[in-house]
Amino acid sequence: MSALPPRRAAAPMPAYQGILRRRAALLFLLMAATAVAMLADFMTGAANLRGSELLAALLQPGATDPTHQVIVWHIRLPQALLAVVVGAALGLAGAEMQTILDNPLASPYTLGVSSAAALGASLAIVLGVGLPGLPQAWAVAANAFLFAVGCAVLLDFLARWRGMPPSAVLLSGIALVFTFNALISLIQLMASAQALQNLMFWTMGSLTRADWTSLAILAAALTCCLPFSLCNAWRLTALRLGEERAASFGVHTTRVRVGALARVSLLCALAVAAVGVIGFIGMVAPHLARRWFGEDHRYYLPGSALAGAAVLSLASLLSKVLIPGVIVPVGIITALVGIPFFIAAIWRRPLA
Amino acid sequence: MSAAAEVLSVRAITAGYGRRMVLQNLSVDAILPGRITALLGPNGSGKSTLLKALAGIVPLHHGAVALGTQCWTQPAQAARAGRLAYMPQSLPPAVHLRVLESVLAAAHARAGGWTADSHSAMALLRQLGIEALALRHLDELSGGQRQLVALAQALVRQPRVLLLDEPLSALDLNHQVQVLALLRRETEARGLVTLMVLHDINVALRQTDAVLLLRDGALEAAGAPATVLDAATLSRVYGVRVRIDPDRDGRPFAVIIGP
Repeated sequence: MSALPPRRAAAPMPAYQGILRRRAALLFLLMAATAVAMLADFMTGAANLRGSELLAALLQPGATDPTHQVIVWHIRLPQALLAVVVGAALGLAGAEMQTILDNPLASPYTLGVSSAAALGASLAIVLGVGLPGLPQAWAVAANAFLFAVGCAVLLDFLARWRGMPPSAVLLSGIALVFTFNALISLIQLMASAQALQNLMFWTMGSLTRADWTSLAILAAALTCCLPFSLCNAWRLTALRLGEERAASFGVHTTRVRVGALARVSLLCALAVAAVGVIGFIGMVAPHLARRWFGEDHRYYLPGSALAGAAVLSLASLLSKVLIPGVIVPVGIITALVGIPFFIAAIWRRPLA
Repeated sequence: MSAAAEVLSVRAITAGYGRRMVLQNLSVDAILPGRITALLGPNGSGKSTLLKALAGIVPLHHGAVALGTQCWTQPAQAARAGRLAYMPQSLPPAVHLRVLESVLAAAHARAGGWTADSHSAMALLRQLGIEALALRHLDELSGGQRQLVALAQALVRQPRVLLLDEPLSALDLNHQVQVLALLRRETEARGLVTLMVLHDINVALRQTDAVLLLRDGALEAAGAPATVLDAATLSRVYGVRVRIDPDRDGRPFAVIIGP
């Protein structure tokens, strides 16, 4: 017999603290990456302004060329910031959605929430259908929100009350996407040339119409939602262990779900109201976050928001440099980037 | 018996799913603290439903559940979860979550918030002999290991009542003995009311302090294992021929003779 003590793995507690430190470091790294991507996005554009010119227009408004002023303050800056905020909103919404629907392919885009929002918006833009009593400026966003909520509630109903398995919910979601898109096409058919152009922007997803108002609204919504998400981090983590088990821990599962759905609908609707339908960010970001942070929602949720921000910021950069002189709608880029992730997710976990 | 030890009683409960009532007017006078009580009965006799009704996961149609001076009629499940820990029959699913994190989720899910007491969770895992699994992911564990994690998820909340649905079924012999010893120790040391669904008659007969025998949603018999689990009752309830033989130490042992 050997006199040596049995070989042991590193003591679990220090090892766990090491894991937590690595996760925190990774969060900061993601933040830095997002900042770099945003800066690069800000520096790039059709008008080939030099860094010093951009900086001057940014720091000394009034002292520089008015054209530079317009480029920096009305185009570059809101676009770069909106890419980050929309990415974070969709990343957070996607992460919560995947947890409450227990499906790695769930996202506002694949399950029709984004399409529903776009349908609501197009009804307002083309037919002027909206909530009575609301000012015209709010009609589009309000419609987008109502339709997004309706779609999210329908999905939750299918998943929970009808006891549909995740694969069936996903297929229903895809059916919803087709339905909403068909209805949007129908509305396009009836639209005037002016409205049609507006609609194209919605359905393709583009950052080019970024403005400070929509940026401020979405940023405010994200700031309001994130603390609620993080407060529910343990409850959402418990939900990953199954509905009944979470309930046995004392989690009011219905309340947690309804809260999460409300946040998903709000973030998704406002994102769509700001930039139109941008696909796959809501699926790619949680996928990355799960791989990097695991499913402890204290890290997974902010991780997914940051991953979404970084990816959309990079996509925005790519949309400007891919074809010289043309800004490709960013929704096209994210779809092209997202499809490999979609396939990878199916590959890793069969739908059944 | 410590002052904190409280008796669990079931007062004429009727409970079930939708319109189908599985339990009909079922009463149990006293399930005592510091004792392990086995819940037995054929499939479909309402064992799991009784545990869920006690835990507040299945609503009570009539009747009440009382623990000490507290009495519940509604499934105020969040409030009840602070006193009663229920462990479902299914294993924790194979998700990409570390064992320690899943136990922390069980401990902190009710209150919410952000912080976590990972030291006491780790101490519990050490007690259960699964400290080495603490940082493994649930999706890399065997069924038996996940069952031990489920037990940790129940114990970490420091309940007064443990409601365990077949805690031994996924375990090999070694772990069965370990878990029973642990439950015995915790039950006695903390004065817990421990009620668990069992299928093995001999485990009930030889390792528990009291038995509740269910049949068709009603209480067939209750009391000390050796009195409740006699040959005639077992034959009547399970529809098999049973002989009870004392073993070398004089303790009863059930031998199944045939159908």
